[in-house]
Amino acid sequence: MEAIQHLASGFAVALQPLNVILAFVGVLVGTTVGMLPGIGPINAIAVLIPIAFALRLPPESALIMLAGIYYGSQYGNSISTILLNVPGTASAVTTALDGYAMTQSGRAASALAVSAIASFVGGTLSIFGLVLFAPLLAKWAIRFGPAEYFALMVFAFAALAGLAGANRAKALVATSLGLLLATVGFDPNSGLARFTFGEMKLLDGMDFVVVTIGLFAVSEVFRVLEGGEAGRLAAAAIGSVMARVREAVAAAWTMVRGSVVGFLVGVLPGAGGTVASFMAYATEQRLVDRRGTFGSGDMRGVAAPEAANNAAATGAMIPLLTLGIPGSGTTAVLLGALLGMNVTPGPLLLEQRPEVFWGLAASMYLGNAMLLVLNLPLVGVFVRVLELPRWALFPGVAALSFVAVYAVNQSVLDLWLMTGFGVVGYLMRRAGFPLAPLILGLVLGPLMEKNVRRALALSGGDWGVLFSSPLAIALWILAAATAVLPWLVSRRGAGRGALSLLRAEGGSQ
Amino acid sequence: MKLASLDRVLGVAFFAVAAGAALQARKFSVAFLIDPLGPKGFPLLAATLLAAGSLFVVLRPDRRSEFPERAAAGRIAAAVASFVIYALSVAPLGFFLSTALEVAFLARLFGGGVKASLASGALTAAGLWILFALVLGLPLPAGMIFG
Repeated sequence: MEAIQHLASGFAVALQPLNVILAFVGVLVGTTVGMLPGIGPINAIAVLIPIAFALRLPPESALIMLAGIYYGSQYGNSISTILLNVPGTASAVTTALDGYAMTQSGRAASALAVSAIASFVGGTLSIFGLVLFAPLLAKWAIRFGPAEYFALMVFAFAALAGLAGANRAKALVATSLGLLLATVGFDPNSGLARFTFGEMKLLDGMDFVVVTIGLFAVSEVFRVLEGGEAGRLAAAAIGSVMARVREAVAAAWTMVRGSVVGFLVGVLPGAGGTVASFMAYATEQRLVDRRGTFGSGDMRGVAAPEAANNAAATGAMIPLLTLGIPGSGTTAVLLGALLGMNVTPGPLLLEQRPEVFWGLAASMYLGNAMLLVLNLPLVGVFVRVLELPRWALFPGVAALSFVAVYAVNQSVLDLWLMTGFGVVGYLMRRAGFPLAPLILGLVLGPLMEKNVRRALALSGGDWGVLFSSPLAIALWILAAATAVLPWLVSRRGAGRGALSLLRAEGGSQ
Repeated sequence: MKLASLDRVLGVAFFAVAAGAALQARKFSVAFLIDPLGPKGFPLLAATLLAAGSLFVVLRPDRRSEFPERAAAGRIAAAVASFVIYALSVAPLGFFLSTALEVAFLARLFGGGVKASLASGALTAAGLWILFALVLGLPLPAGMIFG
């Protein structure tokens, strides 16, 4: 088969000593920055690009290292998310739902191990997809117009509303609050400043890092300060590496499904790891959550999004390399790096510079294996963090939040906004409002607005354009079905009051 | 049913946010429209959804949602106040000093001993300074004392 030949030639590139070392450096840096909230892969890549230029690395070597940071950070990200409920990027928010719940019930080590293994499964399975389908999927993704994107995002919200359990109104409030926050700042279409109150700093919009850290990390500090049961952490027996692996096998199919969902979503430019992890979680909840344990520390609730966001990171390489369309901020920076080295991603890249594409694909196998070997034994070290007494740990979490927010822009306003979002997040969590839809709304809002406006501009204001293609109609039907079906089912089961109450509690985190 | 549950208060607050945003958004107008929806369409849509959702919450609040207890609310208010002071003091006092003091204060709030809290503050601030300023090269304010 042609693909296997290509891949073999790719391994010849990836196994050169320099490239092996660079892949290792990449994944190590990636894991580390992924663990630190607010730093994120994008900053690390941006810092390393000039170094890669200065070292005169060949393009494939530079890409191997920079991509290593990208997918390595997906591993590291889940560590702070699971242990401290501090998701560094939007794609880890879903992992926080069950991951942190597992930590609270003393199963942090299991959660970390499952997350590492699921990340590995997602990372490697999706490379098969990359190798086999890259040319094919590139053609498919190009058919996504603005109307289809808009419908896809509505579908993502509908899927997420199911996570909120019984209370749809609270999910709606959270979603629309996120969408509204997303409109703060400079409107690129008209050049108008919206909701900035004359504050220059807000022209760039609500900073994702500030909002997330406020809503999750700071609100967690307040919650623990209540002194209630909810904030107590328990570090459990850590167990051997093999025991953790055996435990994770139970979630094998979840990981496979999460990988497929994540990969497919990741291929769509603009959708990325966030939507992928939400969709995988929602799909998995529909399929296997018979006893309503999702949201209260179900291992599969960690496995699905972690497999998905790693698979999406690979999938995102497809539009980047074959169309030259970056799907996220991080891949946009990668695109900049490639262009700087005179490599123009596009349909011709596979023919003209095969060593770049196939060398990268092969190196991702190696990198993912390195990450697994690196992460599994370290689980025990990471969990030690939880053995700190609360008076030492949580002020530290607060200080880490301050640095993450302050270091980026040196802005006092950001610190105030973070505090404000911390209070709002604390109250919302206390009242059982789900926070994940708010984050999704904030991240997807600009894309949604851009696409609906583009669609209407093309149609001259005719709203029918949103339902004009078979693909768009299919997505709308899916969205409607996802939103209505669980509601009908829960209506019928309303007699069993206690059960539905429990579900509402579980989904409200 | 109690009239003022946490749900009701939040619902009313969010409804006010939606109303305020909608009033603001109606004024978003530009001389030349490139697209039919313009800059106000999407914010108005989001505000409408928010108003609808929060109205539901106000009308059918969850009886189990309660305010935090008085003592807990006091501790949280103290923490919030310290966050605000920290934001103001970090530039003049410098990252190390202000972070050490803030962490020590929070540690006390979480029930740590005086000496232990001060030590934890100094250690945390030093660790973060080394990691972020020295290793990652991020610009953190040194402050007037060290700067």
